[in-house]
Amino acid sequence: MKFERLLKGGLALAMSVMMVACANESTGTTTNEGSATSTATGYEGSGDLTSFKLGTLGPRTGSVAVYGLAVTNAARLAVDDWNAAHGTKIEMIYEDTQANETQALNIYNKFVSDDKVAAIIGGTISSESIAIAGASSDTGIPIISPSATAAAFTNDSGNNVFRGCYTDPQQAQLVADFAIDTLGVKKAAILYNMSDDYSAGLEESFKKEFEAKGGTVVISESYPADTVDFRTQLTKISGEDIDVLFVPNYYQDDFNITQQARELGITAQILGCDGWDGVLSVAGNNASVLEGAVFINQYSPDMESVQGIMEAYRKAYNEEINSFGINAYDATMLVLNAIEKAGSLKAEDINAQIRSTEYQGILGSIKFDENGDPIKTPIYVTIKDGQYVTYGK
Amino acid sequence: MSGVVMFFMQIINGLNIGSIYALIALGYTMVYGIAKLINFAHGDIIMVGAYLSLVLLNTGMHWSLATILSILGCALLGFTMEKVAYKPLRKASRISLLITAIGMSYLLQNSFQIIFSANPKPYPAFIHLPALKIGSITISSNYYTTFIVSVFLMIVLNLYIKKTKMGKAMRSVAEDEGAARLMGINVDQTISLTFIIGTGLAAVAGILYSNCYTIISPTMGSLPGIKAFIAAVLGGIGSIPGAVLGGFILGMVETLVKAYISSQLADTIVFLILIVMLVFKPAGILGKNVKEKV
Repeated sequence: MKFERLLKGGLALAMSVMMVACANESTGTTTNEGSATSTATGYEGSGDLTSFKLGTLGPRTGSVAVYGLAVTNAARLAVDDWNAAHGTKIEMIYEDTQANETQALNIYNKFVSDDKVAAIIGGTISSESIAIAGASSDTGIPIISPSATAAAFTNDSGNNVFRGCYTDPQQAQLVADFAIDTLGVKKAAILYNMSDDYSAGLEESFKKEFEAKGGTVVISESYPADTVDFRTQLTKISGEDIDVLFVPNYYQDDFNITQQARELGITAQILGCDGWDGVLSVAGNNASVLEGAVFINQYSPDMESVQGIMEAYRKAYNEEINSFGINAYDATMLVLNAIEKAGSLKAEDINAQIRSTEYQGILGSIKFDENGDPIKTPIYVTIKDGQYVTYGK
Repeated sequence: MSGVVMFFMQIINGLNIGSIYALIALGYTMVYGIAKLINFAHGDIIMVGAYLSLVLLNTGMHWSLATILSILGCALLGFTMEKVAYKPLRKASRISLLITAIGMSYLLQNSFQIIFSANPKPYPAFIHLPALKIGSITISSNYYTTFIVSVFLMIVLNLYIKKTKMGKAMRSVAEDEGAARLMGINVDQTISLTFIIGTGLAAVAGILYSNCYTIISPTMGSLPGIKAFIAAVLGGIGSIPGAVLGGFILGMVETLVKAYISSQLADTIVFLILIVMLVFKPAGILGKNVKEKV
């Protein structure tokens, strides 16, 4: 009885807290939105060239926190490095979106109306990035996301929006080009997850590019989510004469597929995209089956240019950096470089600078097409002796 | 590769998936047959068994000892689960019991997610027997071990229930709990034992499963759990040979549809067969059509 009353009391309390929280949130949104719309074009960050603010955002809590933490932490590290090298007092403000679009919009509004940041590094995941890119049309503030891969992020927004990573179709195209131009092969098989947009999208783009370049996709097999046994599809594939097997999935599936393909005697070269990053974490003492597989990625851990940031990140946050973080570091440096070159904190000047410069970062050269998507050095990673190694090195 | 060889390879693939389903379905059917409870947490016991054996193997323990300890660990978990969550509800409606079982399933999944994180982990497979070669077909050791173990366990379980005193007690509890109690059978003990055997079987399934697919994660048990439940229903839930037969049929249909009709349609066709089956033979292939007692 006592327990029941306690429970009811607790529930009522929780509900009222939630209601208050909701009310706060909604008022917060309206006031912020009001001031955001009143900001005229010709937006300019506050401060001068030696002490201004930048903003970065991403999910720092919740189930996808690993991505948001990497982006925001690495962006802060980049500003620290820049300050140390240039004697400036630039500040990186970071906020937690909780992977929530409304929250991301609130943060965007805070960035442009309260903090008056000069540029935004973010968002981290596609949905929140699309939300802030859409909202940024009236300020034109430079937004560069190191990790939003959805095509809509740059397609449906103004010329102040850039991304530092490949889009999914770009990745698949580059892998198809690699197969034809570098490996010189003509016959491919594909095994993809039909219930996943990422995987199905990559399959479509790969097939299109591979066949446009004169190759043939001999067989394309699919499977539903949560599959662990691919032997039926692979047995079918093993009956065909193929040079490469394209496996555009996330690393758990990639590992199972590769292991079972090798077991069934498929010796074709295995190719993949950035979903392969992390595949060694599930390989354990079976890493030898992955030997020789090649995938496109944002970086390769054996690149000399990334050793510094890997070490610094480990020291600062006691954790290993991932490709999201490395891209965020590069994107932040790119923005700082553009601001220095532009000699102004005006949004339009910075945008023009980003658009016209080919930047040399730790991941090689990067410039942007008219859409704001990157044209950069593709990095192919292969697995050698149970390690990620740059292909051809 | 000729069409005939390909066909036999697919049959072997089907038998492999089938024996995994059969092994899991054995535990389902055992608990259902005697305690009249569909233990939805059964799939998650598989996961617990896999993680237990992973932790033990990582300490450098010999695989045989690790396997025995994992089975005992799961049996203990099954025993506790029954005493804590199911026994107090034995007089409650069937629905409450079912909901509790679903709750148990989420409890296990989420607590393992907290302990081991949601990231999948590599499992150090230890079955390294030579592969079997028949003509141009190679059968890997995982395939035949799982097959042999599931058929062997089916025979042993069937004998146990048919021939031993404890088995007799189980059958009588299954038939009429009240009458069994009046006859001096310790019902609580019998049901506990059923759970201990059922969860022990799940641990065996978990370990064989992880040897075959060497990545384990806290949610690994849910899909095989559901498929095995279907296999048990198909074969006639409550029947031990039925569970194994159902498992093999399910695995075979799934594989052949994927191989010769379409991968996209595999699940659709499997579930369609289940519906048709239940419409025309609700008790399953080997299930007895028991008249409802009034």
